Amino acid sequence: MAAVTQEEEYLEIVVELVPGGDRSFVTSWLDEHGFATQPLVVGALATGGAATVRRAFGVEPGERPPVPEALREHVASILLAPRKDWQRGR
Amino acid sequence: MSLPTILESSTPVPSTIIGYVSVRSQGGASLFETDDASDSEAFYGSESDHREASRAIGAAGLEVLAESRIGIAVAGRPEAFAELTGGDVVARERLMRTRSGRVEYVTHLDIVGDRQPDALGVAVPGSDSAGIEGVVLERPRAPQAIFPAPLPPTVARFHIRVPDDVSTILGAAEAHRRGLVGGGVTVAMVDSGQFLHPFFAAHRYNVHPAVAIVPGTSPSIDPHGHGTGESANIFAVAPGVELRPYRASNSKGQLVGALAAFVRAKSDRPDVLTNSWGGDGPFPPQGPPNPADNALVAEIRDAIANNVIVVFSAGNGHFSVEPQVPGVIAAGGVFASAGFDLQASTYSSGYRSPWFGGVQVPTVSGLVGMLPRASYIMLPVPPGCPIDVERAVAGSGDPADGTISRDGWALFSGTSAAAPQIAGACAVLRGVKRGATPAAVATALSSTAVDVRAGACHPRFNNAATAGRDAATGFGLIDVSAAARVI
Repeated sequence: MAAVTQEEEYLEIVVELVPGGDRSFVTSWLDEHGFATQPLVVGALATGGAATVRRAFGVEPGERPPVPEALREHVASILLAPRKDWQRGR
Repeated sequence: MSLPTILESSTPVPSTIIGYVSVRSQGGASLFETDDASDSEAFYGSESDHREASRAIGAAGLEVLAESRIGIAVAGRPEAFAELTGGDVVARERLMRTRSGRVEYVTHLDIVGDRQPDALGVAVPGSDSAGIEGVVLERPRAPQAIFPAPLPPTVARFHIRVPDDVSTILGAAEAHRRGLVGGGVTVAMVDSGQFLHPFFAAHRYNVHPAVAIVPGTSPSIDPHGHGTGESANIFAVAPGVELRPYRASNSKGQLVGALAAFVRAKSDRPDVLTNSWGGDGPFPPQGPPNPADNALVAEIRDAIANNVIVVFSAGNGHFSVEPQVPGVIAAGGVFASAGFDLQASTYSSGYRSPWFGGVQVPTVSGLVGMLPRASYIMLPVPPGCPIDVERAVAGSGDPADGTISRDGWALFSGTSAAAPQIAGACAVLRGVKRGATPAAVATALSSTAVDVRAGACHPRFNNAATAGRDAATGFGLIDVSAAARVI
């Protein structure tokens, strides 16, 4: 798993593949750009720090990452997973 | 109640360890085996043994801090001690009397391996370490991991306790007498972490070391207290289960790795996967679920399709997609008074799903307190954690819980408590019938639940509890023993 310092904001990014998209190609690209990856039903989950997101996608945390040119053939969308919380009082 | 003297620990082994290497004693008796250490000269090492010991210490990568005729104080990485002894360095929790005069667990280091002695912190050298008769790791001189009392404090406020009150009200006590405790069943819990509270050790509950999802976080720390406390609800209903905690929090206790933790827990194929977390959004919603949640929805559906029983809390006034996913057992809340009068909890969410036809949240209910803070169940938490501190003082119109802020106990609940209670019930049913599908388990719980006909759910939704299934408590309060008879 890629190293992320505790101070760095940890982010979860959902990478949705197009039908027939090459999962291993996409995962390799994410690995090369410093993300840890897990397979998802819809594609792959990329996790890493804010700096990794900036370097890989050129966006700040909270902004929707664009699909990089290298992945367009295989990836339908890239979305930040919505932040959840413990079920405390509302 | 008695506590085990030694516990396995998930406390990380420090990167640098201080130790002491005893050079082979010229008197013939090892420093570690003798009953009489009055003649120190008997434990002096020969010059040649000193040279051999120093050579082995250097070869292992340990740094010499100080030397005497008897031995050599050293420091280094755990791997260096492993190299010197042929064993592995691990952490253990030892019950001992601390400086405060209390009996508490304190973290110790030990070297374990086929040839290693049972004595905590003592090791023998590997075969190439000539001139050495033993290695001892520095023992804690001050409390390092202070654990709180295994039994909850007595407070004046009405409340219920784990395990007995929760077990009794949910009908689990009868199932336990029949031996139905969830033995051999695994329950995964995605939450803030799992602190080694002595409550769990005293009851001999089977808690696996947590899996830390966020890099750089410790599996032995629960910075928030939510996961540790709410997990006690599982064991109240199913004391025989194996709990696998997944820590999804960062160092500040924020839930930042929910999806990754869910996917990781799912991949380990537990019987039950319980989740006391979720999102929140407008109600009624302005459109379909957030597309970014589609991945989580797909993972939840896939877990259920692969026979994992998935439980989500309904929410404490929240409206979120997770408990609405078809096949999920959505955990709502019922408040039981001292006289066992039941009413819908005003703290719990309840609604008909606008996104999934036929789905109603909650499915069934567990025990949850009332607004304003649902201060209801006395639960074990890491001493001084945010919950411990927050509940010890009045807030949101709710009086203080009667505990102190660093005692490791706090009064709280929410549907975060109902989910693990219901997960425990699911585990009991899986223990009765190993092949029971998630749908069969949900049906057994629903068809035997105690109908609740008083009160209403959270005012955001304001659905009344009525005869039969309703949007306040679902099918009602679970009855574990009754469900175990029909599964």
